[in-house]
Amino acid sequence: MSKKTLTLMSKDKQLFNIEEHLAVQSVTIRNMVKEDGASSVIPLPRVDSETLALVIEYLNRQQAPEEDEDYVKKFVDERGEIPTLLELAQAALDLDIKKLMDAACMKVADLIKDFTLEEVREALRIENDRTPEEEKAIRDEFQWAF
Amino acid sequence: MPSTSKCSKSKRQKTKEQWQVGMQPTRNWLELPSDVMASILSRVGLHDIIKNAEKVCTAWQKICKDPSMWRVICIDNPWQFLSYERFINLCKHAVDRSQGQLIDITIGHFEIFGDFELLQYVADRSSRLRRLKIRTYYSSWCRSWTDPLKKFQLLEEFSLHSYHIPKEVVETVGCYCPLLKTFKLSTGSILCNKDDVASCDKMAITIGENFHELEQLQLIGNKMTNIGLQAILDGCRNLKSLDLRMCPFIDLKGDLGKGCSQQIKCLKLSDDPWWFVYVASHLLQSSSPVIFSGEIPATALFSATHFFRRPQPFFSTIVFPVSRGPNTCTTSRSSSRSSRNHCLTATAALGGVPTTTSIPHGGAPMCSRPRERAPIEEKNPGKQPPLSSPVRAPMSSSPATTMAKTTTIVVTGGLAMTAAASATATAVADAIQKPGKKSPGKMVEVAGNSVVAGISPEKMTGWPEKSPERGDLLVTFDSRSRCMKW
Repeated sequence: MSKKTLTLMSKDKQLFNIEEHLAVQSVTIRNMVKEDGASSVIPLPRVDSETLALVIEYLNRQQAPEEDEDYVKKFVDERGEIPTLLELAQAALDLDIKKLMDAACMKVADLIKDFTLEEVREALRIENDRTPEEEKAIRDEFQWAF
Repeated sequence: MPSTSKCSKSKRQKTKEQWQVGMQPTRNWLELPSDVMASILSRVGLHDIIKNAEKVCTAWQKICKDPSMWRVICIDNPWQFLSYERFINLCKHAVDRSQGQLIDITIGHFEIFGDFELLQYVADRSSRLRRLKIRTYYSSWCRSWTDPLKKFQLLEEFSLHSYHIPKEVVETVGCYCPLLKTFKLSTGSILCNKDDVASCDKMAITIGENFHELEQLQLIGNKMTNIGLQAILDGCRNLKSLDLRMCPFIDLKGDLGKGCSQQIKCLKLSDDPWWFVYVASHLLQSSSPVIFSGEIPATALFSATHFFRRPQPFFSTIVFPVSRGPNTCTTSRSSSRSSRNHCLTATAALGGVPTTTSIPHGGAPMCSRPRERAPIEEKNPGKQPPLSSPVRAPMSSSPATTMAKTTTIVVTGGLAMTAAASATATAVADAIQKPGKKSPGKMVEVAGNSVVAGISPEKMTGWPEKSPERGDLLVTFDSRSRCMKW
C-alpha cells in the first residue's frame, strides 16, 4: 500500500510533495484533510518556496519524540538569519505548527535582545514613525526603570 | 540590554552580517502577521520590551501594550535590573499591563518584604491566575503573608521552592484553591530535628485532608515519615504523579511501598544520594562527634556546608573526601580540579578563607560555581550578589572564629592526596588559625595512610592530637551501594 501524498504550493507557484501522515503535523493541513480529503493542491499564498522547502524539511524529520525539542532548536539555530526565521515563523503560523513557530520566535527574540534600539530597527527594516517629541515622551515614560 | 561585553558585541556583529547576507530589500517586516510579532516580543522579556522593543515603532508599541501579551509573566532573573525597587516597579507595571488577564506568573528570588507586597499586588489584580511559581531563599514567612494566596481561587498549579516550607502556606492553599491539580514544594533546607519531622508529617496530613483533586505532587526534601505519606495516599485519590526525591525518612520497603507503586503511575524517588546529609544533620543533634567519610557527592557537600555554617556548637566533624582513589586523581586532571572545587566550595561556605595565593597549585579559579546561590548573606539582605558570581568566603569573619571554637575538620584523601586537596587543607588550616584565638582549630588527620601534605609541622603545633575515639559516630557513605552506615 503506497502512502498518500499531498501537494503544497508556494506563493511563487512551486509545488512540493509530502506524505500525508507527515503533513498533518500542521493543524491547518490536518483540518483541510479532515474536511475534504485535500485531494487537490494546497495553496500557501504567503509562503515562498525557500521557506516552504525548510518547512517540508522540518516536517520530514525522523526524530524520536524525546529528541524532538532538541531537534527543533538545532533546526532554527542552523538558520540563524533573522529574515529566514521571520519567514519561517510566518509559515509556521499559517500552517499552525506550534513547535516550529515557538522555536523560530524564541530564536528571533534571543537575537534581538542584544540589539540596541537602532539595531532592531535596522535589522527588521522598520522605520521610526514617531516625531522627536513623541520619541522623547516615550523615553521619559520609563526613565525611572533604568 | 546595556550589555557591552565583548561576547555580546561579537554576537551582535555576527548576526548583523548574517542578516545582510540573506537580505531581501523589498520585505517590510511590519507586514508580518501581528501574531508572529507578538509571539517574538513576548519572548524578549519584560526588561527588554520596556527598554527597547516598544520604542521601535508605534506598531510594536501597540503590540506591547496589548494585555494578551502579559498573560504569562516570568520574573526569574531580577539581577539584570539595577535596583530591587525598580525591579519591583517593573513587575507591577507588567501586572498592570495584563489588565487582569494574567494566568501564569513566576517569581524567582522572592525577597521578604518587596515580594510579598508584589504578591499582594498580583493577588488584587489577577483573579484568573492559574499558575503561580515562587522561588525564595528566605526561610521566614509569617501568617499574614499567606493572605494573597487566598485570592487565587482558580489556581491549578502552585509551586514553591524555599528553605523552609511553612505549614500556613499549605493550609491556605488547601483551603482556598479548590481547583489545584499540581502542588510542588521543594526545600533546600537540610536542618532537621524531631520537631521538623513531626511538622512535616502534619503538613502531609493537611495535604491529604484538603487536596482531594490533586493529580501531581512534588515534595522534594521533605522530612515526613511513612505516616505522612500514608495520609497523602489516603486523601489524594486522584494522584498520578508523586515526586519524593530527597525525603530521607520515608521507607518504601514494606506494604506502603507496594500500595504506593500501585496507586501512583509516576513515582520519583531519591536516586540522588545526598539525602544522607539530612540523616546526618538529624544525628548531629547529639553531642557526640560525627565523622563523614567516603565519597560524598559535591551537592551533598555544598548543602552540608550550609548547615555547618550555623554558629551552634553542635557540629562536630566533617571529612572532606577529596580523592576517589590513587589512580583517578593522579591521572585525571579534571577530576582533581573538580574535587578541589568541591572542597573549596565547602571551605568557602564554612567561612574558611581560601584565596588564590594560598593555593600553591592554583590556576583555576578558587571558587567553584555552585548550582545554587550561596547561603544567605545575613549582613546585607536585599543586596545579594548575582547568581553568576562565585561564592566568596567572608574574610576572617565570624564563621571562621566559630569554626575554630567548635569544629574539627578532617581531611582525608587516601594515599594519593592530591595537591589540590593539600592546598585545601592548608586553606582550611589557615582559616582556622587566622582568628588568632587561644584555642586553635582542631585539625585531625584520620585514615592513617593519608598524607596531609599541605600542612607544615609548624602549623600543626598546638593542635590537639585527638584522633577519633570509640564513642564517636562514624558515618560512612558508600556511593556504590547508595547506602549509609553508622
